[in-house]
Amino acid sequence: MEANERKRRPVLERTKPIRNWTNAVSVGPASSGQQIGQDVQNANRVIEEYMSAGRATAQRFEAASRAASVLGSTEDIAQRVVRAASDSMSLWLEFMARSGGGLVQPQKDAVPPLSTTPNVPAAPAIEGFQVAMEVDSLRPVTVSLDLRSDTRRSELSIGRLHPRDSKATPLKDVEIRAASRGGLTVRLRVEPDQPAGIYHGVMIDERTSLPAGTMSVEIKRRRTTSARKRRR
Amino acid sequence: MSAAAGSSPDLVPEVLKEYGALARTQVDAYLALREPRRHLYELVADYPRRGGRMLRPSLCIASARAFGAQLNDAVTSAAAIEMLHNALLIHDDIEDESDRRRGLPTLSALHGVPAALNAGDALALMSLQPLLDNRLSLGPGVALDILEETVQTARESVEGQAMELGWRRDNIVDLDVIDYLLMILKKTCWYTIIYPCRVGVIIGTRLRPQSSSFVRFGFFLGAAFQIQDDLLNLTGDEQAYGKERDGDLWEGKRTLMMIRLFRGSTPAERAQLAVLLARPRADRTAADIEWIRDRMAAYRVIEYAQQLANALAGAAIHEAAILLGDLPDSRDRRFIEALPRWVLERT
Repeated sequence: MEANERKRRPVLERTKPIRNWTNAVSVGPASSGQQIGQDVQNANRVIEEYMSAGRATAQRFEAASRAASVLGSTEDIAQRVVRAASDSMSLWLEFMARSGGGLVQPQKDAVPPLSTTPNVPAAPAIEGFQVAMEVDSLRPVTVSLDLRSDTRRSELSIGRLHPRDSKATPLKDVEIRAASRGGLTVRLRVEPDQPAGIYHGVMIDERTSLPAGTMSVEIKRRRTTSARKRRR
Repeated sequence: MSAAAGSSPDLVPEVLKEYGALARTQVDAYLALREPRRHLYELVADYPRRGGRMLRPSLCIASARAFGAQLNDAVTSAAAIEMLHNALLIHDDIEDESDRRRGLPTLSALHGVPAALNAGDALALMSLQPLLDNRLSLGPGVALDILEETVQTARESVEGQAMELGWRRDNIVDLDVIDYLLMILKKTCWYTIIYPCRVGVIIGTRLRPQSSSFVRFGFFLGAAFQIQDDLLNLTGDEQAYGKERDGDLWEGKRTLMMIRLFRGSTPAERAQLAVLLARPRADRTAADIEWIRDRMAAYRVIEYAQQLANALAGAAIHEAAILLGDLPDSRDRRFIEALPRWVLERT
């Protein structure tokens, strides 16, 4: 350096303090396990906050519909029955319309003449089949069965029904047995302290050990005192 | 120990090939050519016929079967998912000004933006037809549930894309990993993993799952998938990968690596990066791209991103064990459980 050259202060890389400590540890080369761990925690935070916001929204909608509705549990069941009947009727009417109207028996392999819709199966032929339900529960329960058409219904079994989204104890007291007239009897017992929610299990064809369908059980919440008073 | 621990390394490719072929056949049936071909239906059929991993439709079929459905119950919905995916790709390529897709020029590069945009619109709307057809095979109730899932997924996807486009349009560079993860959750994870799984569960159980079901698993797996995809853009073989190498750098895409670089570099470098990202794509030079790559190497950004992808895949394995642990063992369950590892190992 020459004698007459003034010393100058070096240009500073940083002119403000680092307030964000996550930035402080992330500067520089080589990511450490600590940084990765922090970012996985960040990922957990993102998803938890997202799901919490979703739950809050769902609860607002649910509260609004519950406040506006006077439906009790039996009417919920009735609604499902009506929906199932309506679904069946709309399918039947649609098939009838495509068959040209009239009382035509659906043929097993018939395909509706749809010019723009490929590979659309015909409405399935409905066989007579009885399912008897023996349900022992203090609360309203909805049971749904979905059986494959090729299942031998006399040889079904089912294990426990597991809760969909909670850590509740599975429903253990459930059984399927063949009925004397060729149908099925489903026996279900719901403990008084079994948490409300949806429980789900796979029915197994004992002959092949393959899945033969599914059973879902929805246990309703206990009606509160105020709700019971409103119904009166 | 999950069932996937003993799965063959070929399981995922085998299932993707099998279920992908089924979905592709169904998609082809829905995209049968008719007039106007030259200006519409040939364009609409282009991307689906170029192939692809078929991850989304395969996941839908596998989820459905793992939860008790028959194969045929799920193929129509799988076709819809693949059609919607390709429609989004057409629009993505326009929005990103990309040149190549699956080893060939993008639809907009071949036919111009207006025609490609219209073809993307058409394919998106045509993807509704298989979902409507579900009412005959699955019943109107189940078909409606699947449609509602589709609406939610579409909304999440466009909101995520809006976040990313907004960052680029307004040259927002001061982003964090949290910003990136939220954007990816909405833009990619929903329609890549969460939605196909939830549709599969609806088909298998005939009931709509709770709103939180599969969201955590889909988020962790989808994020690992997207980070790995972005890494391949920088490190993968262009022919195997199918897109232009460094395409994301040319686009100024806010990938995890770009965000990490910005946060980890010096103020002077940050200023330079911000100027560079503010320029339109056409004004960026090869020297600019080389500088970004050099800074990424200096700060070992790619290693960081790989480690985070690995960690998120691990979280996905944990979530899969919770979600699927009570299901009977099956090839479909093992396929889903094996996906986190496959996401990291694919080229």
